[in-house]
Amino acid sequence: MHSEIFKKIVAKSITKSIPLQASLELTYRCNERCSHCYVEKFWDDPSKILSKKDWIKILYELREAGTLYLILMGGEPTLSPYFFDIIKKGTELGFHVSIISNGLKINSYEYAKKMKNVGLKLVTFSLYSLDESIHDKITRVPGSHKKLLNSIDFCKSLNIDVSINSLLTEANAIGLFDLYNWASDNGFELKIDPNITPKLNGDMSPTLYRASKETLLWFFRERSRRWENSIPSPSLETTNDYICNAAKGKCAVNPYGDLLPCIEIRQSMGNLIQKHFHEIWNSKDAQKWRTPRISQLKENDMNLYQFCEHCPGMAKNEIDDPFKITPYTKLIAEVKKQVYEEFKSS
Amino acid sequence: MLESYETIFKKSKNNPWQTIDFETIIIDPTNKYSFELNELGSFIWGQLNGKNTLNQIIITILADYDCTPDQLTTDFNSFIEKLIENNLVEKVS
Repeated sequence: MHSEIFKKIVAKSITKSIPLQASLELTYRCNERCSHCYVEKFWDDPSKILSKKDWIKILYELREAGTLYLILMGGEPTLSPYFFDIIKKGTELGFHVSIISNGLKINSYEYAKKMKNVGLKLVTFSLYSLDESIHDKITRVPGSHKKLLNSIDFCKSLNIDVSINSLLTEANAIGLFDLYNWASDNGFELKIDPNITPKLNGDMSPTLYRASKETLLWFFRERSRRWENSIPSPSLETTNDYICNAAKGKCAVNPYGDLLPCIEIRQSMGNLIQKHFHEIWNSKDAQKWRTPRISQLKENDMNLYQFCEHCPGMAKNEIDDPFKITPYTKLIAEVKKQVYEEFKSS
Repeated sequence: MLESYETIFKKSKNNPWQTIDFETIIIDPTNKYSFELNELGSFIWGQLNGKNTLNQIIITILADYDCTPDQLTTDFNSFIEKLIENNLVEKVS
């Protein structure tokens, strides 16, 4: 029932370009220094950072535009002075409000209870390993693992929904199946992403942490061996389908009020302090990101593309061409195709 | 059975919702369930703002929609009772 209604509303949001989901970067500040992070400076320009009044104006305009899901992120969203105010106002307006957090500030039962009381529905924590030394090495903050597990316990005890985001890197691959088992035992959804993007200024240093081809192969094979439903499979997309959902069913807002097509595409379509959401959303700049179809990609091998998770934003940032598939995205697709064929034949 | 048509309800803050194209989706995060309202249901949902009495909402519907009071009352009662049953609304007074 839930999924049927949800699928229907998602389809409608894409067809009619209704931003069902909006990701709000409340701040670039962060109390961790993760080796893979795309943020270049963990600092907000005081002359541009949005005020509480600005954020509330944006919430009203998103609500009017049809947004249901608000995802508060950063940097680290709990470092925003308006963190609780935005959750509270968002909830009052009818949004489903969730956050993506490293958990460091959720350091007491009372703090977690305050989040719940203002209406927070879901916390997605960034956890890289069950091994404290691996997690802390990635975050570059000693003790961050222990604090994060405490935060998760506080939220769980208050029945706040918890999910986990993790990455597949050379540094943490070895423990990822322990993480899967732990998440399953606790009833948490776990997403593991092999994509690591350059920093917003083009600095490629985060990509040094990407998993090698051998590690990717090991991970996808092992996951397929353990869970049949995780065997990679070709998508059913055709060349006439849209490349992605950017500037259609989703959008993002950075800490300075720039409206982005999605969190990955860092090209401002306009500033929400200077213009109304509708004016920007219906502009030519928004149309530009909304209309591209798979047929426009500079990729001829559709058999490979069926396994590809091409992201125009990541490609623009990495190789300055949103229509070209990056070498690493292609590598992941090749690995998934190989694993699919191995399991299909066995 | 509804207690009184002078009762005022408001939407529960526990249930995120949005109206798109005259249809409303209401989420029950606890039970991972969604409710879908049609155009008239969405209109009534919009009127449950902690200010209107049920009677005022009925009068507004009769003015805006092509239906008789008898037809409307049965469906209206049933609709409000379902909202109460699923904790989607809170009684204000």
